[in-house]
Amino acid sequence: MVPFLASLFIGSSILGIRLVKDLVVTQVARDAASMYARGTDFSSASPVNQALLSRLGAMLGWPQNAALGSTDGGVIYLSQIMYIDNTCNGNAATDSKGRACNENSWVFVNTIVLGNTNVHSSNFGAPPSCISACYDSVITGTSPNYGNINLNEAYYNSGDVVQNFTYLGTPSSSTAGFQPGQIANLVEVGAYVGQTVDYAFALF
Amino acid sequence: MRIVSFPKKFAVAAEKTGPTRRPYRLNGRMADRRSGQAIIMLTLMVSCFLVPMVGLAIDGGRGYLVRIKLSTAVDGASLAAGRLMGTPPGASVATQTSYTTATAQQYLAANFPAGFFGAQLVGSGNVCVDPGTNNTDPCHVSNGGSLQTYKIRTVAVNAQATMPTFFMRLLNMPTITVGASGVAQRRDVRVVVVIDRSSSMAKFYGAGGSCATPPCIQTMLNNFVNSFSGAGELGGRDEVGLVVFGGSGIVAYPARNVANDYTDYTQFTAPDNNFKTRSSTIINEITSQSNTGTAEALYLAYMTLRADAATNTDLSTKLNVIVLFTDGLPNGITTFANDPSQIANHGGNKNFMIPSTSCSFHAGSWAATNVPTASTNLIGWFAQWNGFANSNYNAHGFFKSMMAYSQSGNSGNTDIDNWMTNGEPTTPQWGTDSCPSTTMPSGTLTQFPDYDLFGNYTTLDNAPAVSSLTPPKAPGGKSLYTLGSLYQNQCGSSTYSPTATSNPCQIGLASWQAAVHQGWKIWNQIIWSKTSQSNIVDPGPNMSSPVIFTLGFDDSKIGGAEAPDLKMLQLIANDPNSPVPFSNRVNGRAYYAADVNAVGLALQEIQSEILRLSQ
Repeated sequence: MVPFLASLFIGSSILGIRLVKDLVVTQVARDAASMYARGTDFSSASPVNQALLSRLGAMLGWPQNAALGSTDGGVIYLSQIMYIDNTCNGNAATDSKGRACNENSWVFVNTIVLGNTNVHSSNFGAPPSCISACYDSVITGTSPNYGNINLNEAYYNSGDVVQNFTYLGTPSSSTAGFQPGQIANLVEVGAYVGQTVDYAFALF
Repeated sequence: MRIVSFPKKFAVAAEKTGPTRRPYRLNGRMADRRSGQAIIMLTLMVSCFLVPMVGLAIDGGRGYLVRIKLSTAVDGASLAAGRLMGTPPGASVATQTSYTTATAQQYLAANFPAGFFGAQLVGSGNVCVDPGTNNTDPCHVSNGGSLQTYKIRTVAVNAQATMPTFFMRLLNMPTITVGASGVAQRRDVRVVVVIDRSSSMAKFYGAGGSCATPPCIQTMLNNFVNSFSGAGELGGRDEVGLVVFGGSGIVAYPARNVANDYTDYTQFTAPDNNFKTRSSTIINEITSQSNTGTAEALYLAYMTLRADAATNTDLSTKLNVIVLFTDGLPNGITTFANDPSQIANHGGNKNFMIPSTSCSFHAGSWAATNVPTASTNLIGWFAQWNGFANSNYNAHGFFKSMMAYSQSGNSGNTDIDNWMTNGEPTTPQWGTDSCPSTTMPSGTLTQFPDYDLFGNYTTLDNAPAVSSLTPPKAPGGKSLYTLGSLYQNQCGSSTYSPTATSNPCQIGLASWQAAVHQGWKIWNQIIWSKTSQSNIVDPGPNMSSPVIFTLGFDDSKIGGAEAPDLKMLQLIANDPNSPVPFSNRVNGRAYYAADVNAVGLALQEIQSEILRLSQ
């Protein structure tokens, strides 16, 4: 009887702790997505906002007064994505460099990564690493750390295509619902929970 | 024989309550009976208490997790559907409602993958869309409280999910059903779009909206304007105004009344929600011509945006936005050459701008009902001519303002249509008080005005404080204009000189400072008072708190003129990346489009930003 009760107690405790941490990871994804969709800047230009995100994961052992670092036990991917239909959303089929449009694909238009990418990689890929060339220093005059990808690159750089994203189907201008050219805010959170990694995503 | 010994604390308790204060010693029969009872009790406790409790903890925990996931899903669904409300532009209320509903359901399903902890959504969620046309609360979002639904568009999403249990099924509870609801609301938007039609845009505007080299900017502008919810659409309360400008600007929608004095902030008409048909006509009619009077255009936009600030209690609940689209550097100023106030500031010298050798005039009058048409007033716009590269090319003017004169005597929309199609006046407002009836002769203008017709200073360093606020300086205490590309490139870092009137770059610097001052005044809600002849804090009482977005189109490599000045655009917008941002004021954003395609893309970004801010 004692072993049974002990295992029941220990099992319940482990499962409970695990559930609580699952809960925290889900909540961090939800809160981050909600703020991101409302326009909160989580780029390196706003370290206070980055620290706020990290504080949400205090129960996961994340820093409470600083942004998630590259050696911490968590990672957050914040991405804005857009679908390009077979008309290139009304834009030219090729750009001035002769590159073909990313037709019938989801593409990144903004991406910010916080934390330790070794914890969990994005399930949807990542934009190209051509920071100085691709990011939005042209359109907005801002530095690349805002994560805004130059929309010309989003449309015509094949490296900017999102991988494995099927959650909103295939948007079409002839079908009710999410439309090509509209922006979806995608947040992924990965965190160490014991020896395993918990993962949650939210689409806002 | 076994002796059942109680734990010490029970033994002590028994000892205290026993009649002989002697520890119990149970005989064999009794001990066997007690042992059996303990097993039964343990069995009962495990089956009736422990397992259900553990089951409740585990299944309840899973259920709570599912509920949190469901909450995330309904939040995401309502927020996304609220953000994307009004899709597709121009469609009926029913169509837009169905798109909004479908979008919410797509997001709900996306955020709640089937089988999450074994749970499944019940149906596709209940989506309620309230256009906010009255005080009713069809989506029941106020929950008996006082949440405002009137004139607010609301999307409410309710969903349920069922999750199979592991332990609770032993107690005949095979599933748990959890529910969650999310609400997103969106304010109405009032936008004034300011469109540059200076001559450098000739290649990009075509008759009837066509253009020689698509994609066409007029199409992009139409798409942008049509993305707002006009009459007959879901909500249908967004309001759009249009200001079109070259050297002179005009409020093209709602059509300005030429009899109204456009230097008087009380005589403007606010935008409305019936903009869609007219805005398309106006944008397609735009003919490229003339110069770049940015300060006047921004002034007209702000006056239009806050036109009903005295009476419209909804104004402060709306998101009020000015969007400036320009392809070049400011090079024109509207001024009052015989402005009695400025004459007084110059020791009564009526000829401080124009010497008496050119014409002999009186001090003007602000008392006239329509200031620009008063016979003794010398009011109009002057500009640099033939590009910044042409040195010693005197200012041209004073040309009539489109706000003060009708074309061919027409009125209303016909008048506006003519101005859009035929371009700006070429006749100077020059010929009174013995002045020549031709364009300003070379060398006539000896000094730029201290400030333009709307109180925008051409030397920002001299702008008086309004409510203790003064325009900023550049880092190091330098004049603000030294930050701009105009100063650094076209002017070769030459210091601004108000008397170097024949130097096109100096005309540009005067115009640059006036434009930046007007932008600064807008996000500080400071307006020009004709009555007091000074800049004052907007008397409201309903404040518009405008957000400015600026879009500079660099067509310099594809047949246009000079590249826009990004620093100036950032200063006008109070962009967070501005060299001197005001963090305690509304931040707008400056965009820079490097080619024609980028104009459309940047307009899409501005549209997304506006819709996001309106939540």
